[in-house]
Amino acid sequence: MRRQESTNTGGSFRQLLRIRKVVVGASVFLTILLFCVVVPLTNQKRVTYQYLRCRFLPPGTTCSSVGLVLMGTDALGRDLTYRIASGGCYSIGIATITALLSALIGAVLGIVAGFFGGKVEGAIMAVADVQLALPTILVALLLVAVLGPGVRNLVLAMVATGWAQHARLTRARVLAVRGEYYVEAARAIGVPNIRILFRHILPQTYNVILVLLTQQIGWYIMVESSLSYLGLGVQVPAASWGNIAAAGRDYLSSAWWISTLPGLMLTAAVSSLFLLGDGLRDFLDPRLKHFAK
Amino acid sequence: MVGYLVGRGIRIFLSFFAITTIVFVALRFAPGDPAMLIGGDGVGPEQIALVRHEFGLDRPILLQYGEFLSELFQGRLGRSLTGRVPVVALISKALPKTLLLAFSAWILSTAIALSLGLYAASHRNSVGDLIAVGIAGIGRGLPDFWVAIMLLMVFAVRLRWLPVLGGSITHMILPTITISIQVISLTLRIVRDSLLEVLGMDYIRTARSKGLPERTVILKHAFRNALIPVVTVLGLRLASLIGAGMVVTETIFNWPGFGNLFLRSIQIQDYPTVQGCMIVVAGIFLVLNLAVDVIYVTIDPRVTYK
Repeated sequence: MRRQESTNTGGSFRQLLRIRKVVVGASVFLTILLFCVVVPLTNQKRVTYQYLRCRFLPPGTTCSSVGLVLMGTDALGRDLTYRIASGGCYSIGIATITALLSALIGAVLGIVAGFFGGKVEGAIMAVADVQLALPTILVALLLVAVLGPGVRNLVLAMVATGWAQHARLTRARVLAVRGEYYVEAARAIGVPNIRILFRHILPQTYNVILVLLTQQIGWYIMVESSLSYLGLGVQVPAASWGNIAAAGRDYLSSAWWISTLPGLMLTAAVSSLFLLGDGLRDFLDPRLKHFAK
Repeated sequence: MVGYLVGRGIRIFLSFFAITTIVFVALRFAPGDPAMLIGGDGVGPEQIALVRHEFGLDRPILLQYGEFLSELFQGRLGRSLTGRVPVVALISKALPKTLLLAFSAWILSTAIALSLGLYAASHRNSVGDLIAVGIAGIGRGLPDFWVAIMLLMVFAVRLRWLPVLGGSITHMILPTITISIQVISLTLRIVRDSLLEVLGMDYIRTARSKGLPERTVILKHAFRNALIPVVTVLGLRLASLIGAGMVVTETIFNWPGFGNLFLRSIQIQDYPTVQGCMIVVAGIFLVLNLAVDVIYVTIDPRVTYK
């Protein structure tokens, strides 16, 4: 029987490490993640504590009450190293939860649509199409406006727009796999539907979901930060890359670092995730190059 | 083709209808009484009842919905809660400003992305190619709000070359660059990838072996075929530029456009205006989607619609 699927899963971790995009993307992202998780753990209080005598300190200076401030302090004398790290935890955490929820809901609906077809498929895809007919940020803005700002509503708003991409992609994949010979063969020897779904079709969808998931995390970090920048996401005194950058807007002429540094971290995190996603796609399934967004 | 267009038209109409309904229902569940918003904090229950009556908010929701639909089909979108101005008037004042910004950013980025992409693909793995790929990679991860702040800081606050606020033509430069950066990075990549794919085709080898100059091969033979995926992206980018990309940028640069209007209406809970904005964006998005599909047929004779 001819082998139609040429996906590289299992036992090829060393091959994966040979792809430069994956290595660079993963190491940059993991470094940022480590920084964001470890730094606030060393001293939780410093994230919000205001050293009023040490306001507007440039990066790398010292102040008697704080000691060395690697990334400077803000208008209220808070240590930006800690705020940026803690903000990163929020941004990355929110984005990851959102992407996972989107993937779960979208994949389940996409599989149901692709596998069962008929009216169920029509209904699910119609809703997804309506969802995709509107720009993500607008829908998120609308939902946050209706539900009120805050982390929970932000996640809800982003999931409400994110699942449709997963649903479309997974459905397309299921449709492609459903027509393969080995599925037909399984059916011919009397394998029940549910077993065909779980044993033969589901494993073929993991790759597309994983690639989209990685890139969605990056994308959601951007959306979360934009909404937090506009004051509709993470609320102060909690830190987020978006609201730190917003707080620095009034001091662009005197304290450049407040807005600049969180943005640099954000760009590094998002770019590394996109790079990692690209690398994973090249590795897992070269044919999908023009498939995933 | 005609049959296809009719089918698509019907589906677009249905999507549009679904979106307007969702927006209408969602906003009816929004917190805060619009009547309180107009009346302010110090008004008594009688005045609130009066305002509710004036905006028809005391009637059953189905009746309100029917009225909303009949207004919609007459091209009206209700009145804004603040100042009681027709929403259509607000939007038609703001939308041209956004279109001006969106089109100039779109033209600028298309020109840059096409030429850089052409160069990168035809000089694969050269220094220029690596730079182009690098720009595209980092540009994709650059958040627009941050680009906007950085441009503002460098060119308006520090160097004082450009004004921070105001309605002049120089005021347009920074927002245009902000929006262009993202569009360039996305488009550049697709132009390059798609050209590289086409350049590997057999007919390109044929053209080269005929002895045609490389210039002709790339511009005449490869470029047109590479355009197909590019058109989709450019079209959809333009749509999302008008709809969403503008919200953050316009707010930061205080550009009196559609995105600014939308965000301000959300912040002051002016729901009729929010509703109107969403409906207009959905309409633009759906129509541009269709336009992209129609352009497909024109540039790719292999694509036919039944």
